[in-house]
Amino acid sequence: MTNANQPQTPESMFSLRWRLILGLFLVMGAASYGAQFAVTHLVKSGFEATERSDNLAALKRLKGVLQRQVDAFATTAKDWSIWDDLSDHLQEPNQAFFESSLSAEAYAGMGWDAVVLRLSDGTIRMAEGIDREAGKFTQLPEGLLELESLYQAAGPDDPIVSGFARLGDQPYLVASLPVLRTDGSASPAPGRLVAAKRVWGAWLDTQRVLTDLDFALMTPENAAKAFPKTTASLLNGEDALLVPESETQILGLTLIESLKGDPLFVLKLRNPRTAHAQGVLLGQTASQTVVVVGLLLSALLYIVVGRVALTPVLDLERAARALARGEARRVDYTRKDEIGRLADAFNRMARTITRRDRALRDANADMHQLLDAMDEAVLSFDLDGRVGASRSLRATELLGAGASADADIVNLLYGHLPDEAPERQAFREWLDTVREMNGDDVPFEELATLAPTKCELRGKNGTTHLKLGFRPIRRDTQETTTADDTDSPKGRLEAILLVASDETALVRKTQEAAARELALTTRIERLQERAGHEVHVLVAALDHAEALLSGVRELASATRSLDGVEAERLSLMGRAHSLKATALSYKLEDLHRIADGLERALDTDAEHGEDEAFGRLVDEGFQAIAEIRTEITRHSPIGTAVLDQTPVSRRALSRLHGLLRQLDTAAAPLHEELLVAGKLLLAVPFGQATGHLSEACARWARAEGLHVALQIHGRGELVTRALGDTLSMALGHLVRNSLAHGIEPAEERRAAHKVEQATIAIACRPSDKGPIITVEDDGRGLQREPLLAKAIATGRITAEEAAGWSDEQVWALAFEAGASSRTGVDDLAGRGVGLAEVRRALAETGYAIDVRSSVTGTCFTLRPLTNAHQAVSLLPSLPSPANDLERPSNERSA
Amino acid sequence: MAQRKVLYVDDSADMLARVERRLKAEGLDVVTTTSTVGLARLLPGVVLVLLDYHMPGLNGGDVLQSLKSASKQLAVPPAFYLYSSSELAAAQTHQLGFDGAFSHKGDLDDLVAQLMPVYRLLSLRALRKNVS
Repeated sequence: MTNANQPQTPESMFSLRWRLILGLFLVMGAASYGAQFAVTHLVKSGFEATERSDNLAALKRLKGVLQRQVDAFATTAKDWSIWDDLSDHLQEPNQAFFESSLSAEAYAGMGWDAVVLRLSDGTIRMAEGIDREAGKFTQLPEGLLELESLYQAAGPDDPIVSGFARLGDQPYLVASLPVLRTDGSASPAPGRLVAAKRVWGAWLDTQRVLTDLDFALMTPENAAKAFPKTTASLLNGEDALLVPESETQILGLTLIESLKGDPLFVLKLRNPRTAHAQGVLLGQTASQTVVVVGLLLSALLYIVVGRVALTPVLDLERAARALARGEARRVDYTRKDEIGRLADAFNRMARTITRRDRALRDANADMHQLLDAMDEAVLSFDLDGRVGASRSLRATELLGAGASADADIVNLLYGHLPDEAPERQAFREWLDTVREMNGDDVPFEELATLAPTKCELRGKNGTTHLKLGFRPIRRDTQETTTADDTDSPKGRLEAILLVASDETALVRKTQEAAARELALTTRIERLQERAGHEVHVLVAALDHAEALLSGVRELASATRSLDGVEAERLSLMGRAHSLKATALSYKLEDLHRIADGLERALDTDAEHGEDEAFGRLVDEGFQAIAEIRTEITRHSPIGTAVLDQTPVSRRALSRLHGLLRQLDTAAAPLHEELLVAGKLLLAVPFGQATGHLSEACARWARAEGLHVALQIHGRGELVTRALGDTLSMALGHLVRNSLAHGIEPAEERRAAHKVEQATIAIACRPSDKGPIITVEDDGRGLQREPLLAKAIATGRITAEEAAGWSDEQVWALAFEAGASSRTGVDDLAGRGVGLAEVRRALAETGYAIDVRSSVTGTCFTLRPLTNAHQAVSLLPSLPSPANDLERPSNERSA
Repeated sequence: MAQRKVLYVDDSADMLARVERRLKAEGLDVVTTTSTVGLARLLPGVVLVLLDYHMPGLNGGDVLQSLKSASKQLAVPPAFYLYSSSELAAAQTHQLGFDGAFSHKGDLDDLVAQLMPVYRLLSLRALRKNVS
């Protein structure tokens, strides 16, 4: 179960809340940018259209304004052309008149820059330029007369002609009108007046003009320099064009004609604080407004979405976290939308989890109660040896406070031992092995056989002996299994369960029982020792005791009184007395008591007991003897045979055997039984056939300068007397053969990494057909070349044949007459008749001999060919003498 | 998983019989012998060899050297432990060529207590070596 104290996961920046905020920000940012772009574009386009329209209108108005100015200028000039008294002066030029009436200040006050008065006769009466600032006449601007010539064709009575004219780069407002009289008698007009007024400046001054004026006039040449495309279009008949944005500040051009028909351009100038600037400013304001509105909408959307979706999700999250901590919490949403269904599903899940959690806690509590009720200490540990959190109450009691979570199981069980202690190392190695072999098919049950089975804990109350058991906790795809499952458990190990039981009391009782058993065993061994050494005397004493009891019983039954059979009574009393001494020497207390009672009963000088008590003594005596015999046979290594240890004449036995052979075979079962009994009587222990070899082998070895140990196994096995006689000869020869051919000198053995002391082992072991005898040495083995050389030399085989012979074929040569590998003749070998004679003698006894040989030694094996020796083999062996050696255990199972 | 064996070589048939009976009762596969004849044949499968050193009928040093020489042929050579009543030999365990020693010869309870963890340790190491 999830730990309630598990720290909560910090809210990720990719959480729903932040993703919503980020999404709203991006959406609203994009919307704001788009809105800003759209508004700016629309506003700009609108303003540009408006501006274009305004410009066109402005250009039209400008034309009107220009015309009105022309008209106004003409009107002003006209007003000045009505002179009542001018006619006279016109006829008679009067300089003073002009100077007084038409002073420079007056002309300057009217805004004129030049004035020309031409009389009807063509005489120019006046042609002056005017310095308006100084109020003085100046030189008539060059070309003005040429301008005036425009009117040469016009007569004095022609109407007013006004318009623009240009002199070089300088545009002028010009009015040419007839001079009128006050009485209205204009015709014939005395002359014409031409007034000119500079308007604005030339193009070169445009930059200055632009800052102050809304429009200006340009000459075509200068316009062509500044706006080549626009100028070209305009000259092609366009009325007015908006100048592209790149041609800054000039938003419109229109064309007018001078009085001479020359084109003049009128520029509509931009006011930077209006028009486009207002559009941009409005666009920016609009976009900012859109951003603000967007943010407000985002916040509103966040609130709405949060209330609709995010808050329920967060509530679900909080409820889920509470559920993880083990707190049951509902999420109450009665809505019928997805959130409502999700909340309902969550509540159902929470109820299910809560029920399962409760059931799990109950089961866990039950399990803990069960574990606590157990006498065993139960805890688990992982494959690193770390103890788990749960343990039984008994585990805490036995293992103490050290059995806490994460404790090291090795230290827990073997903390009192040093690190190098084998028990501690073995347990650590076992853990490592389990962890290393852990897999789906980990053979835990086999590994468990190498786990520790017990440990000792040292505490204040002494040593606690624990019996240990380990069970696997596997984790497969479905469920946890344990080794007790009937099916072979599969799955990786997740942990190991330790089941430890306190066996301190049992160990102490066992130790006490062992001590008692030791004492009892000592007594039994003493009895066995006595029985072994003096069994004949004891058995005879028991026979005597039995005879005594029988005699006493007969005596009592015959006379019903002991007084009449004095001689017999005295005899029996003397035997009872002897029995007392014998029983005392064997510490047979019951028998001693009975013998003493009988002696007293048989003593005529003593008071006789009741006949009934007398008979009871006899019965107890028989019973005691029977018990003693049972005790003897139970503790005797030869069992009931010890009771048959009666000397038998060998000659009589041979005679018995001969007679048995002559019995009618019709009585087959009895015949066989008697025959076996006869064989048994004729059998001899194997040790009897080898008794002479110990001394002889030592003597032969000394003569050869060899250091040899002779081992004889199975001295107690019974062999037939005929085989025993043959073996005495055969084994002696085989031992001599080993000393002569097989056993190496000490130096040679050391060089071959062999034990310096050689060994010849003779063993007798039973088989179905009869005893099998082996003679094995650890010498150099048979030599192939000398045997082959001898066989070739005697013509037995050719050299070519010899090359193809196997080792077995070569070894068989050793049993052929004259096949000795010994080069010289001595007491041991060399005549080449030994093994052949051995084989012949054994064959007569019903035995075969074979040999195996290698560089590590030679082994002769004597096997019975028939069942002739079987009966003996089926009989129990005689007890081995104390100095007899046991067969190697591995050979027993061979 | 084949059970691994313990080989006990001693010149005392009585000790061999007692030790064999006791260790088999503990569930071990035990091979005992007093004979040096064919001793090397017993080594395969053996993880622990118990050997006395001072034996009237056997030279423990020669036997140890012979067994060690033969065990070089094995994939998992056994460990050789001295099991002797001789305090002198026990004090020279490693100088004599043994890997370790079990003390208190004759006390079979003590032998089992000393031998079992060593046997398990050696068996586990042999197992891991075979697996790897």
